[in-house]
Amino acid sequence: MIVYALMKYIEKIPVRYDRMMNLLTLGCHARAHEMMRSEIEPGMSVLDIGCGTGRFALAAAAKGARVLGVDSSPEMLRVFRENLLARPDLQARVEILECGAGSIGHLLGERRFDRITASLMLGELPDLVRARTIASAATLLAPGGKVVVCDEFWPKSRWMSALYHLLFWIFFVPNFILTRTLIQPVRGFERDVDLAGLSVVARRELLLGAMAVVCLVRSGE
Amino acid sequence: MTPQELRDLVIGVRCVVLRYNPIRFPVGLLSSGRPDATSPVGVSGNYFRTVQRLRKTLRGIDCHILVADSAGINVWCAAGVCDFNEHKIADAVHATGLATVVSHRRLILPQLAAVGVDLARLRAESGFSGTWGPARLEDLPVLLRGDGRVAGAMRLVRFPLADRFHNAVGLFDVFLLLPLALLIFLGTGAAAFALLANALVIFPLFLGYPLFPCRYPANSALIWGLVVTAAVALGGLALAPGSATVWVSVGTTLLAALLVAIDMLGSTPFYKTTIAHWLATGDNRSLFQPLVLDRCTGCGACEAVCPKGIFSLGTADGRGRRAVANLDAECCECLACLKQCPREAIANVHGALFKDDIKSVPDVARLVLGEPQAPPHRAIAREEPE
Ligand SMILES: C[S@@+](CC[C@H](N)C(=O)[O-])C[C@H]1O[C@@H](n2cnc3c(N)ncnc32)[C@H](O)[C@@H]1O
Ligand code: SF4
Ligand code: SF4
Repeated sequence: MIVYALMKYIEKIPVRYDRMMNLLTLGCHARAHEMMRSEIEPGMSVLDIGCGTGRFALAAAAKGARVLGVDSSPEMLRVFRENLLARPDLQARVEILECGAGSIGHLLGERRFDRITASLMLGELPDLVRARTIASAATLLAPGGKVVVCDEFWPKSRWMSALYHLLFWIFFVPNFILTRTLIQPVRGFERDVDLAGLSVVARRELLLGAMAVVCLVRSGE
Repeated sequence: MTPQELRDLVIGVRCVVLRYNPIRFPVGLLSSGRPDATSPVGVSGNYFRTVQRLRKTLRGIDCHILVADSAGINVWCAAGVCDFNEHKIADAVHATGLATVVSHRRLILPQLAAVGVDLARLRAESGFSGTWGPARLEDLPVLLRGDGRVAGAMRLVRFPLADRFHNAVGLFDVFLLLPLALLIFLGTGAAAFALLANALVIFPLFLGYPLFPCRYPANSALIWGLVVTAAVALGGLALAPGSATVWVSVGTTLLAALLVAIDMLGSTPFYKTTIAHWLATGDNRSLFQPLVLDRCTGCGACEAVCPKGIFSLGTADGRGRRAVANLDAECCECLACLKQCPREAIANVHGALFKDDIKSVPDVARLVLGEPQAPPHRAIAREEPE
């Protein structure tokens, strides 16, 4: 029964998703998106990986960019499509593709993007898939392009790390109920970025460093 | 016992005891035996215990095991809520570089994932074709050794004692919330009573399920729950007559019994039905009953994925080969047949009336009615400038 109640609740999640996310991150979700949006300029081509309900993709399109949103969840994309229907002015500039983040390199082949964004999604990926996704992003980047990531990052200090472990145990239940997935702060990001041939050019922290918006470019550019 | 075995045991117990806080096995490619480029590839979800069992079952058989993300839970549940689908498998294929490891392009998929996996899209996204393996991983060796194919009983889902035990432990864990609440508000006596009552409601029911006389498990649960509640009431009155604790205990036992009965309406491999339908009729059977339409071409996709053995292929009334649904068998409304039928040739005998808790079948509302796809919107002819 409890499981049933949970399912019922989750069923409605994509619709309430945006509000819930903002609440969970104490309003930082919106601020992070604002920071990411400042990297977008009219006419740019943008790939938003794990676009979810399309909140960021639509904001980027509203700024005049052409956006391809990619997500593996048909439920999230259903809400995205509904949101897009409400914005006829943006429809010509927004494209949606249902696929896994690990498959973008395979499916998008020769396409190139000026900005590749991933907001609060890398933490949902298993380590190997995350590494592959970041590597694919590096190949799909147009010359002079930027990868912009917003996520929670696992702290480096040992005390903070222990505290995080504890918090995750305590918050397991509400976290699971609210988001269904076990969103975890991203670990091993530096190594993935390094292996993909990218380098960090900017990093802005939110929520006392628990969240950050990170800009990456191809190393040597 | 080797350290590895001890570790596996500890993790196995941890998985069962804390069932709803699952451990995820890392997504990746594992080797069983000494596989080479031509060895078969079996796909698994990433519930830790499943991968453990799989490795044990396949010991000595040369094959690759591709572990894909199923959110750390079993593929049947994960597939129904879009947590295990073609995208997650394709992610694993690309992340592991499987195409450079094997020379063939075939994946053996867990049959119970059929409700979530679109095979055509899997091929397009990963470059690999999927075929359905057996329902239970214990039957995989037969297929992998090449001694046989998946057919008949290998496609049926069961609910063996071990699984029932794990299910009971999971439910017991969830129901610990009740005694915990009592502990805080009413003290240890009431909490201990509630704990005992929970155990008495849940364990005998799941473990002794085949012994219960009722045809439908939800009814067994309710009747057994009432028996335990009566016992708690009598025991409580004898031990501490007039105490409020007794009545609270009776209440919580009754509540536990009801919740367990409701759990039997779709959270186990049994039938699946709505609470309202069960309460009104006492009938636990699924409201979904497959109706094979004339569009059927007899491809056999439904037969290959149905975990209840509902379909067989026949040549009814000279109309050529087509699927025949045996409605006496017990459909569990998993909707795997609906997801996999390439002709949209399966509808529901009861139309729109079904539990409808599966999220991974697009257009399910239309499919159950047997309606053909709406014709594409006719483009409004635009006047071309002369
Ligand atoms: C927490 S949401 C973030 C959504 C959006 N970017 C935002 O900032 O609001 C994470 C999204 O990642 C998607 N996702 C998770 N795993 C994925 C995968 N393997 N491939 C593609 N998308 C994935 C989920 O479906 C979900 O929509
Ligand atoms: S899957 Fe569809 S078309 Fe194929 S046999 Fe079954 S009902 Fe017929
Ligand atoms: S007939 Fe019932 S049990 Fe069989 S696949 Fe279809 S929904 Fe599942």
